[in-house]
Amino acid sequence: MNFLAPAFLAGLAAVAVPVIIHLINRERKVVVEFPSLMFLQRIPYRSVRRQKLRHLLLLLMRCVAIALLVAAFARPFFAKHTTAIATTGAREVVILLDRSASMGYADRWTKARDQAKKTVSGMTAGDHATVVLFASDAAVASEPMAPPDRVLVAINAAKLSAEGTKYAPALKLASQIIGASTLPRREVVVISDFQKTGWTAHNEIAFPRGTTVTPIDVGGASPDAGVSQVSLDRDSTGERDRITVAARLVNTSSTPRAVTATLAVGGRDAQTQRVTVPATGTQQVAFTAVVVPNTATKALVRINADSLTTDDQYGFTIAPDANVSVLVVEPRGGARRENQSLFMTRALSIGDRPAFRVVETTIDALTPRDIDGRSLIVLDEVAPPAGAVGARLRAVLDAGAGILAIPGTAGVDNWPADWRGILPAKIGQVVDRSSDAGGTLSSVDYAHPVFELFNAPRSGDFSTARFYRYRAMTPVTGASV
Amino acid sequence: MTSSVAPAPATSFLDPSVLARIGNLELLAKAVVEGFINGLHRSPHLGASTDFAEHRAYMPGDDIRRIDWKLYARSDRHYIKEYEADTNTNFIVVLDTSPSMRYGATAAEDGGRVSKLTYGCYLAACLAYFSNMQRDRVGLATIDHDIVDYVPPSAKHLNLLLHTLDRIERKGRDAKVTPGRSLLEPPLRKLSESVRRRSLVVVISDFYEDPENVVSALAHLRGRGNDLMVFHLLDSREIDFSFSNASNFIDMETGEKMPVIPEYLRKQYRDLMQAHTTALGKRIGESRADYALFDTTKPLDRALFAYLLGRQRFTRVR
Repeated sequence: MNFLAPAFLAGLAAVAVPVIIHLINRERKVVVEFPSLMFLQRIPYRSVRRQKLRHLLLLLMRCVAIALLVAAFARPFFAKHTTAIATTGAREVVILLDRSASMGYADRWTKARDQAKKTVSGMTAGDHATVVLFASDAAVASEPMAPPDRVLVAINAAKLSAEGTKYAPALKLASQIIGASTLPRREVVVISDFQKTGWTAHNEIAFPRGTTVTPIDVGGASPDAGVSQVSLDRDSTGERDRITVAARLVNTSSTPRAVTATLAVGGRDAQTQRVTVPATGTQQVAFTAVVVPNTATKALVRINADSLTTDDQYGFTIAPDANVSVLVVEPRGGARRENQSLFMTRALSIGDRPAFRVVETTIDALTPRDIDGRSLIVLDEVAPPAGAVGARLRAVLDAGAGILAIPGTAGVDNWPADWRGILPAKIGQVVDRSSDAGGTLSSVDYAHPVFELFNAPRSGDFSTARFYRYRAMTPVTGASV
Repeated sequence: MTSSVAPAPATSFLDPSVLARIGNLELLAKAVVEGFINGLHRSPHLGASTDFAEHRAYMPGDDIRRIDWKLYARSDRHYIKEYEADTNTNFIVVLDTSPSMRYGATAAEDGGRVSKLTYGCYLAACLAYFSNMQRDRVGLATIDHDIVDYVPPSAKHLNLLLHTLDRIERKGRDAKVTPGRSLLEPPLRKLSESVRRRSLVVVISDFYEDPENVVSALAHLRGRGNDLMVFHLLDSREIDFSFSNASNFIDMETGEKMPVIPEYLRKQYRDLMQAHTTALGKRIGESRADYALFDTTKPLDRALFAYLLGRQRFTRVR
């Protein structure tokens, strides 16, 4: 038996404590009043063995308890009977070759492959070698029982991946191969740059007894700069969407580094900026806004290449405009109030997914061209136009666009008869409830898409809202309020 | 002379711990004494009674009425006829109230034993009550290293005596230990000087003194012609030393301390105590006094038996 923390065995001195306690405790005498010590004093004094211990079993148990506690702190372990590692006989070698992205740094990949080849070339006839390539997953690259030259071919054919490193799958695979082998000598060679992030605490993998594991580290210091993150900020306020690209550059070396960052859209360099990334720090690079193309377009942020090229560029795709186009039609000239549709446009501009692009116009300036491509047309206190524009509007409506009619003070009396038929309700007179407490909503159908947003708890309460002026409406058959 | 104490049916004895529940000493004494025959003791003096004692030659001055004329007719000499005198006598209890006598009281859950002092008080009360029933004059002297209380012998002093005993008993129960060894000799000498008539003196003590000193102290009383009975009171633990734990023993009289491991000293202690009581019995017997050893766990009645047997012996001692 051995101890992991033998220094704790010094605590065994504490075993003396119960012994001392027992010795002291014995001496603590009860005081007894006695009529006369006349006779006791006549008895010749005889020294009694004061060190005599009583309650031996209790003392023993206390001592053992302390000894066990000390032993527990010292963390004893029993060295298992180790099987002697065979030094002769055929070898079963499993080469775990890391092909994760970080292996592309400088000459790591070359070195790793050289090490793998070296291991294979050191083998003799009768030995078996298996090459396992691993990144975030592991796969056997060479056939089992393959001769060394075939293994070398497999090593040469191995390519880097863009994945991260995970050791668990590779080690598990290696243990399976080793476990299935019948050869006396078993070896696992791990060739990697040993990235720390590849280890996970769980996943216990045990190799069969007598397996030799040889790690070969091809890593080392890796000063590098790269693009770690790109953020896109889309601005939908204008006629065309514009997108602002910002990139975060990382420098892991101990010296500041001047970097040229380039934004390329659709394969062409759009903008270039020169920045200096501080030592072991990050630097934000913001490019000026670019117009979003009509089709999905590949874009990337690139810096000048260094030892590890994989992280020197960051690719992304810019999706085309996906806004809801809204046309607000206001009354002409004198009938138009100032800022008539201000609140509506402001409310719609808050919308983000999807964003609303609102275009305002007046009824007299309305052309069929304005109507084309609109998803929603708001008739803000105007009657639907007649003539070619009206026909166009009707066509858009039939094609699936929506019309939001606001009767306002004008009502719908001035609407053409055929238009009035499309309304889901018969619009009545204005009801003025400003003299009394106003009207409230007696019930709201939260299942309706309009109110669905307010269905969640604490997201709005319509029951307290009061309405002082509204129009009486009579829903037509099939319509709902 | 404990061996001379006649065994009596156990049921007739009253346990001291039971008697301790009787608050009134007179009642207690009455309960114990009741049933004993009275008129047992005789006066050491010759007097006028029906029991003939002896003849003696006529001396000038003797009352001629007491001449035995029948004997004169036969012998032609003047003889005086003398009779046993059934008189009352002085009865004095000497009770040791030294701190060591306070030993032995235990709590009710531990047997409720009474201390030697309490036992001695009961004993004194019983004897006094008993003697008073005989029309004897009863007196009391309580002593430690001096006379503490003295009730002169009188036929009317029973109540005073009982009251004094009662007070001592209560005082002794609560009193703190005051250091200082008590001695028998000074108070007994003082007492012997104040007792004028020949009396029957009962000394109740635990006699933690050398037997020689005890005897020399008693000799003061004995020398004055008093009849003497010595009741030696000991707690059972003082006799068998039945302690188990190593303890610091404190002398109740002197306050001395001594670490004692009872298991090592028990045998020697018992031997010494045995030798002490034997020597006391022997030396006191030699001085023609009566000695009886009492264990305070034993019923009081036994003490009375011892007393009565002793009295019978004294009738012939002049």
